Amino acid sequence: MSEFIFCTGRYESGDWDSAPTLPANLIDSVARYTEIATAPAGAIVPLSSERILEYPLVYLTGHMPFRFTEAERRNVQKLVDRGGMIFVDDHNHDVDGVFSKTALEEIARTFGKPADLPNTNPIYSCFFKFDDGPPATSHELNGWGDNLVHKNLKAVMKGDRIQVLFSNKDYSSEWNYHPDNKRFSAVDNTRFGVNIVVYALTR
Amino acid sequence: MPSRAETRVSIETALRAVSLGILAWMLWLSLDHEKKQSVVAANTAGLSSALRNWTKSGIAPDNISVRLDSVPPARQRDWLAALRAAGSKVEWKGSIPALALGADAIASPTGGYNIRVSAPSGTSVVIGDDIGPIDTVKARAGGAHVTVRSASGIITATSSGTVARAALPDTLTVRRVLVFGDANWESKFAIAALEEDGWKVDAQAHVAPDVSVTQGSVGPFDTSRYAAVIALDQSAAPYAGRILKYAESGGGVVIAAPAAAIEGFSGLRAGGVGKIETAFSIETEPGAVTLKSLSVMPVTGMKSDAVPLDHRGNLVTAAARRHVAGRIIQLGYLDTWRWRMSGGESSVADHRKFWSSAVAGVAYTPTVLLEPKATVDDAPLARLVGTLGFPSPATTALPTRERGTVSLWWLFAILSLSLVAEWISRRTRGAR
Repeated sequence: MSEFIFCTGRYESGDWDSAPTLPANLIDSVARYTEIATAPAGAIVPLSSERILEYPLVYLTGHMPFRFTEAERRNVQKLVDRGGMIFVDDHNHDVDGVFSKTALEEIARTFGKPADLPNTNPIYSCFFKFDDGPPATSHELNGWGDNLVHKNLKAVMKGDRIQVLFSNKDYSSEWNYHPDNKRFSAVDNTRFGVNIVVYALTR
Repeated sequence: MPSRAETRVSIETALRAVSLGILAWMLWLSLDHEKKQSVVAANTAGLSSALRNWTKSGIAPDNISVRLDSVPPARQRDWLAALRAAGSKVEWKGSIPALALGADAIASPTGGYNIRVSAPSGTSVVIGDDIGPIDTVKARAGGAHVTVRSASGIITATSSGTVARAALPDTLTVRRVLVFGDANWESKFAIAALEEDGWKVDAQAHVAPDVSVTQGSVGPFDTSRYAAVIALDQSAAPYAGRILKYAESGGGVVIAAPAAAIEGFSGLRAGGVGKIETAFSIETEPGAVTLKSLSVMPVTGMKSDAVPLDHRGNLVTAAARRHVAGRIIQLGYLDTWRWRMSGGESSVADHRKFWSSAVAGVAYTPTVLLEPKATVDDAPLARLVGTLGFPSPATTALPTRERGTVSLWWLFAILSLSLVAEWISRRTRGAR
């Protein structure tokens, strides 16, 4: 049986690789807390390639304006239609930032308008429990970016399944460090990333 | 040398003897009714009215010959059988193509029926129901098959004027499906495929020691709750004993390749588990993944009661068997989710159909009995032969005249002639 491979999507319009150590950190967490067969290295796959369909969970991030090319749009639509999931995180932590604005426009154009995800969604309880919804990041608590603590993530749903998950919380900064440094944290802040992976694999 | 008068007396005596003999014969014939033969005939088109006429006469015809170019309806066949029971000799002639019809309910939440027709190759058969025609199929290799989502009343198959009728099968009760698997893409997409096809799925996805993501409420393993259990991988091992008992009680079990090696399934599986075979020769670029291009762990050393369902070359990639009251399918394919995600335009539907068919093939589906259908006539030619026997050879011809009546007329004529001749002979020679 194939292993789970964490996939970062490469898109043409912006800085898709702005959180280069995040994949290794999340892979470490998934391997550390679960028995999910996980590949030790992630994959970077262009959204314009149909190879993206081999990775049913795709992570996208960036600071810059975000636009899909036609090939990228076609492939991500197909990926989501066939049951895959896309996780988009705003690396600016800024609702007025260009990434958030353009990514939300692009998501709405491609998949439908995202709505606030209720904090009772199973993504907050499928492995670790997050009773208050999405965990806050240090960027939010320190007042950086838009100086907001976002109460909800946004999502495009199909039935009760998340197709596209969108975050303004800047998990890309929060989780973008070498996994060895987790030992300095009282609470591992990547636990919600494990939930995203478990959710994608089971829903 | 006798005189002329003596000769005439001798002739008169002979004529009297002939007359007496004929009278005795006629008397015997009048007492022996078995010898009176009436013959009637009809063809397919005129059979209905002929049957009414023969029956209205009050006396059943002795011989009934029917030339058929299609099988008459059951009512007319029964009518002929009744006439035969009343003493008529009934025979039929004709070369009628065989036609038989069967319908099975599909064990799936979406329902539907598999309709199978047996007919000579090349024959066009119109499938219909009470509402009207559904489809026209051409028989190949002795039959044809069509799947319909719904039908109403009686299913019919019509070919060359012969109509076969089959009752809709009894309604099936389709229960939930229970899936055991690790948290991975195979589990996720197998469950998704089943749910998309309408199955209600309870699932347990193993994530970590003592941690599983549960969908629905995984209840007791019994046939009152589950139609089938699917073991996708080694995460089913702790439940092997319960799954075995479930199968013995009639439940269906699908064992995917990674689960087939579980020791507790040795009594269930169709055969052993071979080493992984990769289809190197087949294009597996994105968009081109098919069932044939997936890696497999073939079913090896098949048990004597196992039946192969699918092959790849010499490798058995799916096999089935019965274990006590339950049905088992062992699959050899690995990572079927790749087919769904990276296959062609129909891959999602194909992947869905694959999993739904596997479950439907083993599912325990108790029936809800429908009222019996009196108008069922699923194999008309076979029933015609069963009722009236095999057709008579075309060269055999029944007499075309009513033999008993004709012979009596001849006898009466000879008798009259002999009496008149004897009387004339006597009178012309002066005797009284």
